[in-house]
Amino acid sequence: MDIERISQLAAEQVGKVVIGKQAQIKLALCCLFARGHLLIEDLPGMGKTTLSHALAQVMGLSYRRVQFTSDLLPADILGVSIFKSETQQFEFHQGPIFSQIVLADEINRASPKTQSALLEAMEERQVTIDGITHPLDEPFFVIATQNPLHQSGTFPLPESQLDRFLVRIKLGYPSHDAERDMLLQAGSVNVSDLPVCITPEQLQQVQAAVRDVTVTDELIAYLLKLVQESRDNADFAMGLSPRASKAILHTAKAWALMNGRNYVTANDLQAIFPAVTEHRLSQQANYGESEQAKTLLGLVEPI
Amino acid sequence: MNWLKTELTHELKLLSLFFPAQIIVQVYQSVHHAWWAILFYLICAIWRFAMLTGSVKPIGKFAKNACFITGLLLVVFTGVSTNILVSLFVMLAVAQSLKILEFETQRDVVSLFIIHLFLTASTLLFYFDLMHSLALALSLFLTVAAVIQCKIKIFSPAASLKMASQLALVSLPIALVLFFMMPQLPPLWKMAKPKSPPTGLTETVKPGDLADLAGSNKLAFRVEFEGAIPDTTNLYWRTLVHESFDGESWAISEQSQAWKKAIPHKQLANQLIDTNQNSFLYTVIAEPSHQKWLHALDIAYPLADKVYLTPDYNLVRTEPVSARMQYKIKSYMHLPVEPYVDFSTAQNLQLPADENEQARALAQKLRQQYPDDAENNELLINALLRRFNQDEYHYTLKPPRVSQYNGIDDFLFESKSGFCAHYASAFTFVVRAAGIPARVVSGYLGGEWNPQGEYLSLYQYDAHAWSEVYLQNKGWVRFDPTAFVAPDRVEMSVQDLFKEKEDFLPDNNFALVKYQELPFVSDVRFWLANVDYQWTRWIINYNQSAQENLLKRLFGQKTDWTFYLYLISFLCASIGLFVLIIWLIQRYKKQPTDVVKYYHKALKALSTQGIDKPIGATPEQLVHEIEHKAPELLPIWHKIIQLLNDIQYRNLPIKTKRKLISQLRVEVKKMQ
Repeated sequence: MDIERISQLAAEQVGKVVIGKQAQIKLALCCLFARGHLLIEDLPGMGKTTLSHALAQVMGLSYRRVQFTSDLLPADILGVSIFKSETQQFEFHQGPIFSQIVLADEINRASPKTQSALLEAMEERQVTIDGITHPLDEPFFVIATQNPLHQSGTFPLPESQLDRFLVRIKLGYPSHDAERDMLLQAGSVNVSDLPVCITPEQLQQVQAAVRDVTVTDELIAYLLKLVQESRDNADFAMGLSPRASKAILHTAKAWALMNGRNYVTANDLQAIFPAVTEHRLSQQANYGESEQAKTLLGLVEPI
Repeated sequence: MNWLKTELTHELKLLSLFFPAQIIVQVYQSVHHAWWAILFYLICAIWRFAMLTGSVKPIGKFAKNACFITGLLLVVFTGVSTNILVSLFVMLAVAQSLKILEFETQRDVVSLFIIHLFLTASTLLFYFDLMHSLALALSLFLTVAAVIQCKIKIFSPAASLKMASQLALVSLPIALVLFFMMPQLPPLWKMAKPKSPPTGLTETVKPGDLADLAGSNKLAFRVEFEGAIPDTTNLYWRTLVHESFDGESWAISEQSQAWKKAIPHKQLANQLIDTNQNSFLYTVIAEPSHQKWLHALDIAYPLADKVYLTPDYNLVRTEPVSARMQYKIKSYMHLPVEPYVDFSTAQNLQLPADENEQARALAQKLRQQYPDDAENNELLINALLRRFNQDEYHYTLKPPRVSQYNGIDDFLFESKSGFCAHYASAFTFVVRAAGIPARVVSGYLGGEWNPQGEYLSLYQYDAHAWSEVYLQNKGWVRFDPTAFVAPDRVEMSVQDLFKEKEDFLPDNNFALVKYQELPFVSDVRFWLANVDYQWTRWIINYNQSAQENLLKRLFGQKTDWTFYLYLISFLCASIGLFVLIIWLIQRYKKQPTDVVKYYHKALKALSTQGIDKPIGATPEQLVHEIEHKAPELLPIWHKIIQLLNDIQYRNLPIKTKRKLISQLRVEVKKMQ
């Protein structure tokens, strides 16, 4: 199986509906290959929903969307037990979380209680209701989108929950040409028309292959130097946690595979580094504008 | 004071290593040669420090020349006021100070290192004790760290020190093997040693002198026995025989002096020794006394070169003992039975013409009691000794002063208290006055047993004086009048004898020996003494003959020149092998750094094209810039990227990697 080729193909297909955002699409794919959850952050109307829907489509996975609002309750996501008068028994009705790809739209508009319920399910990959544990689908991805915090009516995710997301990407405004192309071919390609490029079996194989990617001592040394710098240097409010260094390495492995290699180079590590670490390094205050990950990369020599 | 916040610059790091190292050797030089050397050094070092931290302006050419001329003048001044040798040592010290003021390049650091080596070696000429050697080793170690720091600039001083200790660990076994195994050659040149005042026993003994020595806890010599150890009552270590009395002090006779000046042949006394007797074999390590006399038990047969037995049965050497020396002795516990009468009879009856009339009267009285006869002579002596024992005589470290002329009378009849030399002197006087040949012997008595090193230590406070009387048919017989006054002295050391009294080592409250009763103190003292002893035995006194012994013990072979030839070639070969192994290991371990080195070379080549790599950028990220500025290099650069990635990040066998590294070197060369 040529992982480089199929990921290329998938990215191209998604690119047909999310125009001019190849880098972000690749990062999103990489995140899914690394079995991580994805956080997309941007203003409304930037194509967050389209991107997540397209991803589900090209991977042939079941897809559900939950629009988070301030009155959304945990049961609305996880499901609820309802008393059936015919059978005189409680019956569990699955919530939207029982799906392979769940789009949690505008996650920061829901109350912390609901956010926690989702994040817990993300971590455990199972849901327990009324003492009964229900395993979630496999594969299971949560793609959450988030509005910038200065918008009214939002509950910012705490740092501890932010780092449950392996990768955070921002879409940003499209370039002039990309936007023109988009306008010209508006409506010609539907998300639901996209072909399936990666079968679930292939996805499983990719996920398994990620674990076997070679990592040398030299690369680990580089990663450790980066992490140590983030902890020692006073410019960074929060040092990178061991969970963060694990996440960086794992994502970098998936990235290496997507680039047709079975070993991780410093370049791979640098490519995914901002997406994996930015939301772990920066505080809410400098949300969105931060370049801390880039600063960090500029402090440590890879070789 | 902004230098504290920023990271130390390269020169500051070097200075922080050089300064403590050099201060050690400079202190030795100033203590031993010229006190201002340390001052000059401190001024230069502090000045340099101020320059490096930016507190003062960098030194100008004029100031530099002024410093140079000052140093030169100081050296010349030392040469004029003392001697040329001292000024040469001082010149080294000044050179170091001046270099620290201006060191800049690697060459400077290397010359600082070489000056340091010379200074260390020259200090070792005078200070070879264990503690001094350790201090000098520390200073050398710090200098090595400084050289490492100079070669590997990115190191912190701590990393340099770590590497220096690794180096030291690796080189220590080589150094030891070379030290013990390399054939010792006779020195090519000899340095005139400055004259030092003699210490310990002197050739002329005034009765009060020995009491002064009892106040010193300096080591005199140490003895290691092979086999049996004599009784404590027989541990009379002879050093000097005094035969000439001038009414106040006992001196060495002119005949002895003359004999010593022209040491003829050591066989002189050997034939007298009855070799069938019990003998004791032992090795003495004498501390420098700056005298020619050596210490030994009765009656010594020297087994060392250039050590001779005098007709008085003490040992003498042709050169003064100016450094610790070691000699082997075989002792027979009895003086020769065969009478050995010679020129010395008259000498040993010699007395001053007048004074000390009471003592002479006493001798006459005794002589009348025991008329002149071989048997009566012994009775007379016993009667005299009984007098010491039964009359109220006191043994004390603080004898009252006696008059210059009638000292013996004053002591015998007035004060009746004195130290061993008073008793020996008075006893010998009376015996001589009675017409029996007698003489005073000075030396050391007893010794302290070190249980850890299993050897005897004799300190200056063990100094003792006793008498020898010539008896017909018996020869010279030892009489120790002190034993009749204070019998304990023979069994115990002065230290134990005066323990209760305050007057043992009164000026020396810090002497560990005063606190012997505390078990910890005594253990520590014995341990320290033992370490020092082993150091002396194995390092300082390791000479050609000691080496021959060791080689014989190791290889059980006669050591002729072919053996030495084999030994040398074997040593060279094994050291070569050792170095080769280390080099191979280093090469194996060094590969990643090789890669880095080549990569940096390639980057350097790029920067000549105006392409500078930002910190943290990967080689891939330069592709774009190279495409614009130096497209001809692009294919090579792609190749280099591939090689770097393969070497750094791929799991390849080490052989392949080595091949890739040499390819990388080739590619990098193409770029230049």
